[in-house]
This record gives sequence, C-alpha cells and structure tokens, in this order.
Amino acid sequence: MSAGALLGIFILTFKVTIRSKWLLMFTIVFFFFAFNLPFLSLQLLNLIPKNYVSTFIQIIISTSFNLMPLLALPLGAVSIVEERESGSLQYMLSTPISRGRFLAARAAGLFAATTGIIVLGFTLAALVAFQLSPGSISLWYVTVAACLLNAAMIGISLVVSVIARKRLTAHGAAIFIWFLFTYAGATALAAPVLAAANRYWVLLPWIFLNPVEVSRLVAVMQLPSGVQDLGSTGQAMLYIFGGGALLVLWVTMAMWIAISLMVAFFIFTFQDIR
Amino acid sequence: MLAVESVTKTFGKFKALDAISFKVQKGEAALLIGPNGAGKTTIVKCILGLLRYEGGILVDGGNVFNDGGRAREKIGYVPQAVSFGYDTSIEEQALLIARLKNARKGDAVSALKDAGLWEIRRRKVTSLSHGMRQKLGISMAMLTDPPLLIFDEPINNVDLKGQLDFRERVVELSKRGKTLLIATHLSGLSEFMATAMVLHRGRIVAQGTPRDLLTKMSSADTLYVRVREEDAPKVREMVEGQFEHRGNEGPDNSKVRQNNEWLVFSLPPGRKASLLKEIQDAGYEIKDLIIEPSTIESQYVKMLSEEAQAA
Repeated sequence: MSAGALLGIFILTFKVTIRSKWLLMFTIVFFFFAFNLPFLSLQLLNLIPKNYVSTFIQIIISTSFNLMPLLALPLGAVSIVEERESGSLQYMLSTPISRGRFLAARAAGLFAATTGIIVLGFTLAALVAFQLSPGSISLWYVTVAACLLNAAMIGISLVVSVIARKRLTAHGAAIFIWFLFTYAGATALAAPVLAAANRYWVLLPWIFLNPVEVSRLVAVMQLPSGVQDLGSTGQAMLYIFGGGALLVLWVTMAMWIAISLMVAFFIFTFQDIR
Repeated sequence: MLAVESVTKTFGKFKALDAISFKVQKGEAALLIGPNGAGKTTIVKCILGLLRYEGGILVDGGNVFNDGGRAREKIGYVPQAVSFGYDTSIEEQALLIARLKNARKGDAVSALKDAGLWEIRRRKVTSLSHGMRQKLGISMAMLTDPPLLIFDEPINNVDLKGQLDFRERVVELSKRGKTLLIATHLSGLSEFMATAMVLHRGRIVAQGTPRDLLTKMSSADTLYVRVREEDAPKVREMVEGQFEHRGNEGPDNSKVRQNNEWLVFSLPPGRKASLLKEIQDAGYEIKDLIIEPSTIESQYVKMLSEEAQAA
C-alpha cells in the first residue's frame, strides 16, 4: 500500500469539505461573529477606550469555543454515512486500501479543511487586535486549543458517522451532541453554589466530559487576564489541581482525541459495509 | 482463481447466505444468477471483504478475511452504479481510483482514452448515462489489469444497446483470459459462460455448466411452427395427442397454443426433430419454424414461479 491511496482519500476529503455549503455558511457566520462591526465602528470613532480591545477579543475567544464544534461535527458526521448511502464507500473500499488507512486519511482531510478555517479566523482576529492594540494579546495557545477541540470533534463526528445508517440521523446526532456539550457547559453555572458548599470536585466530571469546556479553559488560562474569564469551572480546576491544572486539561484534550478516534477506528474496522 | 467455501452470512436473525460454496477457475467466466434478494450482492461484498462472514474465501490463494488488501489487488470490481455522492468529474474520479489502486496517473489517462471518455473528462460522473458509467467502471476496474473481474448487476437499467455492448465486452474479456464473475438477476449471458450458479434465498439451488443446468432443470425449448391455416387445428390435435400418448409431460409442456396459422408449444431438447418429422410424415407442410432455445434465466424464473405457486 503506497502513500498514494492515503493521499487520494485526503485530497478528496479536503476538496469535498472545502466545497461544502455548511463550511461556507459557518465561515460567514463565524466572520460576522468575530468581526463585530458595531464594536469596531465605536473603536475607530474613539467612543470606547483602546484597552477595551483585548477584553473584547477575549470575550469573543471564550464564546467562540462554543460555536466551533458546529463546524467539524456536522461535516464529519455525514462524511462516511453519506458515502455509504451513495455506494461510493463500498466502491472505494473494494480497492486494496485498508479501512484503517481510509479512516485515517478521511480524518486528516477533515482536520486540514476545518482547521484551516479556524486558524484563518483566529489569525484575522489576531491581526485586527494587533492593529488596534499592538502587543495586547497572543493567540498562539488559543489557536492550538481550538485545533485540539476541532480534532476531538472530528473524532466524535466520525464515531457518529460510522454508526449512523442515514445521513439525516447523523446530522441530527451531530447537532444534538453540540447542544449537549453547550448545555453541559451551561450547567457548570451551578459551580458557585457547589463552590459555596466547598464541593468543587463535583464539577470535575462536568469539565472532563466536555471537550468544549476543557479546550475553552486551556485557551482562557493562557490569556493575559484569563483568571477573570475562567469562570467557576476554571476556578475549580485551579483550586483542585493548582499549577498542574493546565497540564491536566491538555492531557484530557489529548485523551478525547485519542479515544474518540480509536472508537471510530474500531467500529469501522469490524463493521459490515452494506 | 476464486474459491468460496461454505460461506454463511447472517444479518441479525436473517440468514442472507447459507453455506454457499463454489469455485471459479482461472480464465473462466461464471454467472451468479438469482432474483432480487437472493444474496448475489451479499456474496460479492463478502468476496470484496466488505462484509464479515463465516467460512472461507480465497482469491488466487490469498485469504480475503486475513489479507483483504492483497486479495483485492487481484480484483477489479464493477458495481451496479459507478458514482460518488459528490459532484466529481470523470477525470477526478479516475485519478482517485488510480491512487487507491496504486496505479500511475498515466494509467488512468490511458484508461480514459481507451474507453473513449478522455474528451469528456471534465463532465460530472453524475451526468453520465448508465452505460457510460459502466464503461467508466470497467475501465477503472481494469486499471491495474487484475486477473479477476467482478460485475454486480451490470445490465440493470441499461438500454438494449448497452446490454449488447456489455455482452461484447464480456466476450472480449473472456478472450483476454480474464476470470469473470457476473452477478445478475437478468442476463441473457449464459451462452457466454463456462459455469453458472442459480442462487435463491441465500442458497445455490443449481450449479454447473449452462447446458448441464438446463438438463437438470428439465428445460424445454419453445417452438413456433407455421402450417397452412386450414391444417392448424389438425396439427394442433396431433401434437396434443402426441403429448397425451407419451404421457410423461408436465402440464406446461403439453400445452399447444394456436394463433391463426402459428402453433406454439414447448419441448425438451432431443424431442424436436422427431416430432417435426411426424408432422411432415402425416402430410402437413411446415411453412416456417422458429425455435426459441431455453435459457437458464427463463428456467429459473419458471422454477421460482412454480415454487411460489406451491407455497
């Protein structure tokens, strides 16, 4: 098996993802979300203080993590089931390529296309921030955290895609999973109550079982005024793990990626391709 | 080249294949025929390693279960509808398949040129007719010149010209020494096949050379005999009488239909000449004669309808 087969699936996946209408719609929404025109107008007219830029961008970063799974989840969730429905999956797998390599190339293609959009978005945000307030913010860690979140979402979406029988089911499941993570993140608002009861550890499952929250915390912990934006979950992590909190979060993200991809590989390798 | 040994496949409680066994020798053309839902596509998917199964499948000595990749290197697969869900062009699809099969870009270009598709290489595959897609599918299956070619329902939704073209391709591929396995529910291909298997409800109910199968299935050719219109009732009576006299025919075989001067009846092979001679000896002129030979397809349709009636 040469690298040509892997490259073939990678290129196909990349092309199809880049051309997809969902990606286009997401990019437009993400652009308008990040490129807050009313705020920028106020800034350019000097109606708000210059140092407000970094605060604004931090808010955007923090909230954008909730939005980000909506890019990879639906695209990844339909990627296998769509081909299964059309018969092209059977056709491609009738060639010498193994299922493991096929899925690896598929995941890589999805990752490259969706991460490209995210990196581009954050780079634009960094450029705007730099123009308005030079040296105010470093987006390096934020971008890495976003890429990790994206990789975990691709892993989860591929699990959905290899299990689902119908494209519509896969799409619905992807949206539900996004809703679940967003909602699960919101339930952590109960943290102050738990904190008051000195039961921070109760929050740990809510954090570890939610890759969106984990990646958001990774990003926010790197921001200059991160502590303010950590929220109750972040405070709980610092309270329990102290200086090692960031490392625990990085490891958790890595595990989300590894486990989700392994589950997808396992199911795909041993299932019937009807 | 291909050995399927006691392959069983179940989907939940449904047994799609029940201990199927057959062999296709190198350079042989085999027909796998059966109605929709008989298990033809299931067995093809097992051979391609797409479905898990019990039993054994060997392609050129390589085990599909343990070393699917190597086994699939020996197979060129032409599915029912060669198409991607995406809007890929002919050229894009050819290049992708070339990559998946470890073929060079030049091979894909040559294959498209040979198939007469190079001029329209920028057209979307979805815009092609079924026949053109099949042409593309065959050229892609042949990319690495594999010894075994598997066709799944190759003439479904194909017009008459497409069917005739496909026959020509089958003959040509056979002459080139390719091993062929054609799974279909309507073929008209049995005359070109070295062996045929009739699949029904996941079981092979008949297997052998087409001629053997026709004998086993007590097949009957259909005769259209044209006599003088005034002689037709008498000849009909005579033929019916012959059937009654012999007394060993089934109810279908003894039926003689008359349409003006044409008489239509069925006879097993080996009985035609003697009966026609008897008609002429009785002084009736045979003005025209058409013999429609029995085919495996017509026999299996008959067999299945008899089974349905019995049920």
